Amino acid sequence: MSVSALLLSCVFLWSIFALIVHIALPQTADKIRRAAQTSLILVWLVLIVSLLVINRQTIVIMLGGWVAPFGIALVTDQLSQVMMVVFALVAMCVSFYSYWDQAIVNRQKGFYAGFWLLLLGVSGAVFTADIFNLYVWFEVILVSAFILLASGDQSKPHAMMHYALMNITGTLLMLLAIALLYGAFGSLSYAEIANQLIQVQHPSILPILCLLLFAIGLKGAVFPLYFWLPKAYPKPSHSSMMLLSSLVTKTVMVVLLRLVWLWSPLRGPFFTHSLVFVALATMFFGVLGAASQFRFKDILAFHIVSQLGYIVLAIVLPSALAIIAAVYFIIHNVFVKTNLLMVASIIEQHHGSDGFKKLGQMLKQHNYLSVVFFLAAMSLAGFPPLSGFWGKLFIIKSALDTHFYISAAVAIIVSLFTLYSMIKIWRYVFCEKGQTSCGKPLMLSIYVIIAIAPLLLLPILMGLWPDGILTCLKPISVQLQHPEHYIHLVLRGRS
Amino acid sequence: MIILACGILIGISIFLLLEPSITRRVFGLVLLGSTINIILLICGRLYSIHPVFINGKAIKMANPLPQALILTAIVIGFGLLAFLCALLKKILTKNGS
Repeated sequence: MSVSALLLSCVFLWSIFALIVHIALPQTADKIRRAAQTSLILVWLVLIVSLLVINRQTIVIMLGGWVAPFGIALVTDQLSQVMMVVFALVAMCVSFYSYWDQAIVNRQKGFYAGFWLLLLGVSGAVFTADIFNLYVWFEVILVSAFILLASGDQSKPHAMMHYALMNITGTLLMLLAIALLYGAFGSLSYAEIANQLIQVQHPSILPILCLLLFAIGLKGAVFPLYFWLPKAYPKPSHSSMMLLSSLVTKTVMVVLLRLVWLWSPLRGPFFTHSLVFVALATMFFGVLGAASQFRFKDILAFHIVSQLGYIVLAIVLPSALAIIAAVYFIIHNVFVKTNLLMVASIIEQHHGSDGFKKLGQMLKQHNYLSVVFFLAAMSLAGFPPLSGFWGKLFIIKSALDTHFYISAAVAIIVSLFTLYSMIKIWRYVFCEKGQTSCGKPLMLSIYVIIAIAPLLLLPILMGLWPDGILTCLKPISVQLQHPEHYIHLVLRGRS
Repeated sequence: MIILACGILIGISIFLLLEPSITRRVFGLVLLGSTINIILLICGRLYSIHPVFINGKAIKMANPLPQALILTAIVIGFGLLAFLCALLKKILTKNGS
């Protein structure tokens, strides 16, 4: 067994171990839990970073030694490793933040168990190379999302029910699509299906793929199916919202990126044009929803939807630069959005509300927090030299290169609207006079500073040094453009 | 015949899912899950004439994969159903009181 395979299994085993530790710890042991959580997440981060550093090529592990296409494969390649490092970094920051989050400190009913179950599900969904296995990992993510949502405000079971019904329907439709795919190809491995898709043109494959994309779109909250997200996400505790917004929908996007470049019919004209339409509608309606909201967290929740539109657009544009743009944008978005949510939740926790009517004049009260918010908001809107500018530039340039002129125009207009809603937050929350002004000064614990610092510095570094990031992301683009390499590696046991 | 039945069942479950009552939506979800399991069974080309266990030299045997898939799907579906029922109970007690 090679070192990378060992590391990969350690990543999974470690999150299961952490889950058991948190279930076994008694509810009252606050200090021990904190120490345990810190060491667990740090070791997990080290495991994932070392996987990225040591492993330079694609490694396929067939579980149980069954040969392809029957066995279930775990594949670690450049895309999954880079994404896992980003997810692990954000998870670490949220973990530090949660030590300060009053909702979790006071009634931490299984937040950390949900946290590790989510990380387990995310790593499974990113590393797997089998579509039924993907379904199972999505279910793991869904269950952990239920735990995280339930750990927050329990006074609104209706919103929770809505979320549960929508998402369970989504996974069931995905199961239906998988059943039909299995009927059509007799295999569940990504590579085997891709192989058969290249060799023969199935006429029946189009509706099956449509159904699969519909289910993935429901999970990933794109245009006609995004209504559950802004309703459900502001409800749980702040740390849960950060975790859900930065990990769940982004994992779906990573899976979509892999499938679109692996299965050749998904890059045909029909799917490209319909997905581009979906992407544009998602970003436009998401940002319009954000412009109409008057609460801090509601605006940010609608922005999650709008940014997903950019990611989908970058995923479907058929060019090498677009792949880099998609990965770059996901990384940028995960960092910046978590940062904004942290600022919003610090303010809400200190002043007891996130409505615009109550808040005001934060600029005078909290200088440093205002600077952090300003940088993150400008990065989200896409001002040079921050990271959002390069992400949008790459997407618009690849849209122009591939003659999707309307998409480029819509992307530019939507970023103007993004700027508008960020200015709205700035004006109401930070500049104008509000009703309440909290007398006592804000005492931030060292944990919050440790949590915010990387989330602030990394997007700035990404913005100041785009060359370096581009060289790092180049192998991902090369690898995704040549799916035959991946197929060959996974199926090598057979041929 | 089975395929037709599956189509009807999916139609009923989607009808139930679109009802305003939450209890009916949960029932719709249960029915949808079970129907999809049956479809998974059909797609695996699992016929009753082929034996499940063979002693080395039988010509045809039943495909074991769909059975494993359905087992997994049923277990997951059952867990989610339990969660939905707990949530439903909470909503009903809240509205009833």
